Amino acid sequence: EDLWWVAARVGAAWLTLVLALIVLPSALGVSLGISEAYMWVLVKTLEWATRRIEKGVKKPQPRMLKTPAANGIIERDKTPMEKEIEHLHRVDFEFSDIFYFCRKGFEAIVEDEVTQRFSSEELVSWNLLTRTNVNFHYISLRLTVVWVIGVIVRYCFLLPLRFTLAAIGISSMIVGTTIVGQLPNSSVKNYLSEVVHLTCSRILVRALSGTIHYHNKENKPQKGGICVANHTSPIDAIILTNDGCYAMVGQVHGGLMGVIQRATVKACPHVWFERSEIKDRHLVTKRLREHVADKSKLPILIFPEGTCINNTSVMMFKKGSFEIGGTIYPVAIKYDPQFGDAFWNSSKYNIVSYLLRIMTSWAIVCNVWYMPPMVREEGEDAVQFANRVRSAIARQGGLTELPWDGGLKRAKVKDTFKEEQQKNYSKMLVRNGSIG
Amino acid sequence: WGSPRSCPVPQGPHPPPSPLSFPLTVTSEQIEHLHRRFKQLSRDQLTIRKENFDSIPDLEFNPIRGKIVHAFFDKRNLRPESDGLADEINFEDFLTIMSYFRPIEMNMDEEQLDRFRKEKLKFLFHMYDSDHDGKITLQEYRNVVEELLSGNPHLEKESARSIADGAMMEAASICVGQMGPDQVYEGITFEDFLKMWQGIDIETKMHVRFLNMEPIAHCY
Repeated sequence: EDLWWVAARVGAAWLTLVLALIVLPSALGVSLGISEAYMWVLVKTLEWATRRIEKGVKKPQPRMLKTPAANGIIERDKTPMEKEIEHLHRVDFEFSDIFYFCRKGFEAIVEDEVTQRFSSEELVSWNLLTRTNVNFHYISLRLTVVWVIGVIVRYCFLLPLRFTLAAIGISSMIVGTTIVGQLPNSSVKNYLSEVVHLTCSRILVRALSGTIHYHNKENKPQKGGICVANHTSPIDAIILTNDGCYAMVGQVHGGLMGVIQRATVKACPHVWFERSEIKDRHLVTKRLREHVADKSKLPILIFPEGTCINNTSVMMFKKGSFEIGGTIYPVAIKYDPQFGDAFWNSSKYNIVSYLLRIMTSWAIVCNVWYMPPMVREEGEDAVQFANRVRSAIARQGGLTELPWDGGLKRAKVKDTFKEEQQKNYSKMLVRNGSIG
Repeated sequence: WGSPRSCPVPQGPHPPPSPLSFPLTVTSEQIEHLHRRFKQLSRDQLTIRKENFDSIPDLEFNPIRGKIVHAFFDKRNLRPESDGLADEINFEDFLTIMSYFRPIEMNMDEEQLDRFRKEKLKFLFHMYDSDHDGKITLQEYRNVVEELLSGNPHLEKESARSIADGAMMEAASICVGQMGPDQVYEGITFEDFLKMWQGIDIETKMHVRFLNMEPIAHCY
């Protein structure tokens, strides 16, 4: 029994420490500086590790003048088709015209822009997590020792801590919102619901060791607006709610997620759709329009890409969110992959193993930029508006823009796209006057 | 993980450490990248079949997609003096086809350059010669033109035909010279094909250049 007694005492002490150092400051919105100290130690260690790796490389490597793009392994020739074929032409149609398409085909086979975005970004230097380095080779004893210490710290110290925090965060959210939900509708209720949501978000962010830098807070989304952001992982929502309150939009799930959804909707008017309702686009648009029209309701949070992208680019925005009307508040979220990869590759990992990976990473560091509001202009249709917002977000976050649909993760290219290139090429030939 | 030792791409000696030198042949890092790409395409199997190329969205755009994919399975490209079609290819074969797109290296001598060029042109020749009889006939040529132009609804089949015929006549005049009124031009053989390309620089048009990766990216 002595052993149990000791364990109980240790457990109680642990819990008190957690509550005092982490939960209480979250509730009050204060920071004790523990995360900053942790990050400082982490950065120093990683710098040291990188220097060790540099020293350990024994082969003399040829120094190239060009710096490689972090996202590509081959040099893509950007010459447009017209220039290239003009250059080769002596007769109207030549055997050589096939070169251009041949080469483009090979480039696509070696590396295509789309599939790249659905796998995690490659790091230029190692961050002591084996998962980010595909070929971990032995370098030196010291480095390996540090790596082992890192593993122990992450799995035996950080993981239980984070798990405890997450548990506290989720349970207090459920309990808190249920209690607040019992109150009659009033400004007191709204205020309390905001407090509960903010506190729980803060606890959850600390549960991930998240360090978030918010920029341009003066552009924060206002009530009655729609907030759109690029999507990298399910954590995006928590990152944003850490700094303000939003009305979430989404499908009703079962299990723990469903419990959370049912509890929170009593306190705050989130918009949850049944699976059958989601198929009916008009119904969805109507409900969202009603929500936006009510200026006292919190801004809606939407991720128009529809799926998780690996945070190096922004894919096509679905136009549905831009047909609702109202003011759009774009937000750009960019994660720093040095400390932990936040991207959820849903075809490779399920949600549980994803959360486990997140909780055993060093930290989640990201930048959030609030951008000035945008409205749809005269004569602009939903698609053009969506593209305009997307360009703004991509530019702000330093991401590339791709015209592709995130749905390509699972489906194939539409036939209409395939014929484009052929049309262009034949248009060129016709222009050269080779017919007749 | 197949060992790189077994692949036919020659591993050259260490590149000289001058800032303007291009890499000699394909380095082991690039082979690793290609291997990862291979695994991605094959979904972790040891071989790739034609269907695996369907998962590349960029490739769908390409009008001669069929011919490019076919080139990977064409046994004439995989091994010298063989013929026919393979059902599936392994990583070694994949690298063999990729090596047709090696960029030229600065320190190649005349003979090597010539052989290099011939290899690339032979690859192209096989793409046109779809029935493997060693000649590009008018019909095969028409097929290629039609594929390249098939997306345009305004261009009729007749126009595509006349483009092909015109180009074929041009080719015949280069290869055979003046033809009599009753002479029938059988088809372009490989020697004729080489003649057509004399003096035209194709080496820079038919290569894919790898970017050099920083040494820190891999710990060794």
